[in-house]
Amino acid sequence: MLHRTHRRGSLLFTLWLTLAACGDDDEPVETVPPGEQTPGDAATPSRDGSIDAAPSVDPPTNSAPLDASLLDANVQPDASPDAAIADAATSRRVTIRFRAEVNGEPFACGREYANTGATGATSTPSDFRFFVETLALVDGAGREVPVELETRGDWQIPGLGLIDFEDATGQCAASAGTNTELTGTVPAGEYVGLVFSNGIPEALNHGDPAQAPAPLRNAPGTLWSWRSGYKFILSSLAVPASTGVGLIHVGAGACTGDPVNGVAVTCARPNRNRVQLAGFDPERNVIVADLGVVLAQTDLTVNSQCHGGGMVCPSGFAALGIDHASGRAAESAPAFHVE
Amino acid sequence: MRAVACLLLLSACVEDDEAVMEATMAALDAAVPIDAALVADAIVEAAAASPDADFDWQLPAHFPRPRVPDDNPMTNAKVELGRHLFYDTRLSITGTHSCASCHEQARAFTDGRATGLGATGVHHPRGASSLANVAYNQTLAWANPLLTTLEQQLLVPLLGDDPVELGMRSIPQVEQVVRAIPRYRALFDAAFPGHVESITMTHLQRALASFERSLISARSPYDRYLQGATLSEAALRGMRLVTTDQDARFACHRCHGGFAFSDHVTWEGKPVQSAAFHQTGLYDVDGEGAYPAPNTGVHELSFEDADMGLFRAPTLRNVALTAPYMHDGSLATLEDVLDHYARGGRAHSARTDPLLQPFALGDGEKRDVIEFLQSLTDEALRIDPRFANPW
Repeated sequence: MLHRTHRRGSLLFTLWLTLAACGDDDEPVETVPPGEQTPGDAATPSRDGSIDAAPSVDPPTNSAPLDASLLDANVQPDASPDAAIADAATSRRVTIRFRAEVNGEPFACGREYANTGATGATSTPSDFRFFVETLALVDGAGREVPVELETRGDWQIPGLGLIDFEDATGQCAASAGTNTELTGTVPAGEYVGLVFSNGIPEALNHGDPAQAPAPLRNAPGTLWSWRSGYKFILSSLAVPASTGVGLIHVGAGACTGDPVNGVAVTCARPNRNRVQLAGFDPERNVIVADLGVVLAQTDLTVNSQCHGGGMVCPSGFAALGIDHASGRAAESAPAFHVE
Repeated sequence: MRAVACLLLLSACVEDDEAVMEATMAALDAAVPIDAALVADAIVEAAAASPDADFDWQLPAHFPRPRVPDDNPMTNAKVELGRHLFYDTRLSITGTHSCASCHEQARAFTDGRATGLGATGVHHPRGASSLANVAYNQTLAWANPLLTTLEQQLLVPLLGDDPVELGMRSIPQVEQVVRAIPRYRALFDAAFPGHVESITMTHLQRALASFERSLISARSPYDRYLQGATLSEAALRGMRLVTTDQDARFACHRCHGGFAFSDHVTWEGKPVQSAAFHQTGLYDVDGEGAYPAPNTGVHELSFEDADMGLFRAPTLRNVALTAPYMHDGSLATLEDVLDHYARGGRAHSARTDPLLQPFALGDGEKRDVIEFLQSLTDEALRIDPRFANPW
């Protein structure tokens, strides 16, 4: 029943390979599939393995490879002698900006977009939101430095942010406010790239929704209670000229557990991507999420519901940077690029 | 059984250790044979219970005590609040639907539809399950091993958007709606005293779950038969076919056995075991036993081929009130269900439970089985004012 991921022909952006090149190392660097890391290397034990992807090879001229502990907002980066961070005591406030598009056009609730999906249908989006679980800037030496998110309203807490492009106009109905940026601090320094993952830390994902922090508790429609978790990425759209309903619900899949008897819920398919974008300067650049790319190979004139890890829509998962068959991060996430 | 009943009374009624001891001594004086270890357990249980756990389950001797989450002991105040919430249409996005819209008391808390119909007119892929004796369900819904408490499960119909059932948008919205209804202030304060703001989602979940747990169905003719009354000869013949291995063709009780007529139950003190799910040969869309999406059973969540078509065996109690049958309502009558099983499953495949084998079913036998199933109808449940709409 498993489908292989259809990869797009052109990889618009990347990637650890690109980042590694910044480190003046010509050796090919592979990314360890997140689930294959050493279980004992559990600096962030409450989190799903998928966020802990790290290069299996430590290029000799590089600084320390990404350590799982770096993704924990409470842990300071390892200040090794050749670290690119000159002064960890001096922090720098950064704003990471996002923008939504549909095939290059600005995303707007209620707007009709021609030529969407595999059949070129006209469609109207009614939602587009996603959670950001990990967020790090990449310095000139290829080190990933976590952005320590601050607590801000309904939108972010340390370790989790919600990007919301919909404003409850048109056919959108989630919430009047939008949030297109995440704010936090990083050690002062120059950064040349960015890494993030769409997801929710495991402990929160399977926790009590009524006791969850604001971004989870307050955001309408994100709770995926029958799957014991939340949707990491949500979008929906209508195709007026047909009966088609486009629906993208990406969340952890193949979950098992018995919470009542103390068996924690775990999910065989994390369904978390790992978006690695080179050439990103928070002062000048914005991350563009293109819904049109997500839907490019999906026939929107029929019901095309992409439920986290289900049997439909592998191309959408691939565009978002998730291997549909395994639920693990793919090498590229063509739906995202830097401008 | 008498000893068990006695213990249930003890643990339900006592208010403090002294009363426990008095009651225990009284029971011993009455010369009822009581296992000393069981008495000790009951004392521990009663002592551990919340002091305001004043709820009386009114269980017959052949019913065990339901398992209740440690953080949500039963109280009359919570049950009464939960009853108001259960019947409140303001807890739907349209103001037209409540839990009771799909779980009608007169139909043993089902809705008579093949598949549930949500507040916005969207059909659920599956039918509404009976809530009678839902306190005993090991998992909730038709095929969801992850939904193990009512507190957790009720978020699905309340907030779920695919499909929309009640269609509420968010936890804060639910709290806002309830806080704006004056009658709830006193009900929440009574059920959850000592809070600056008692109207919270957590308290709403606990109260609704408590009301649902209170929906005990144990007053059918069959229950009275167990307590000494008679059943018709036909019903007794049907009972032997359904509840025993006397006739090898019928194996109903293998999945629909025990006091709840379901193998998917648990109760206080029952050892933990994996929840049972079964493939009953309803569909075979690919020649390999696949069920049509989205109703692929446990597989819908696990994506495991081995879980294809696995569903919970629902209780047979009140089954005469809960047509149509199966997870998608695809069998209209009890006769249809029996014919389905007599065929070994209308779409028997390699994935179908091997207990399902074709057999010859006589018309008289069919009538007997159905007469027995009708003896599982609890008329008192249908009209019990404790379970009725308070608004």
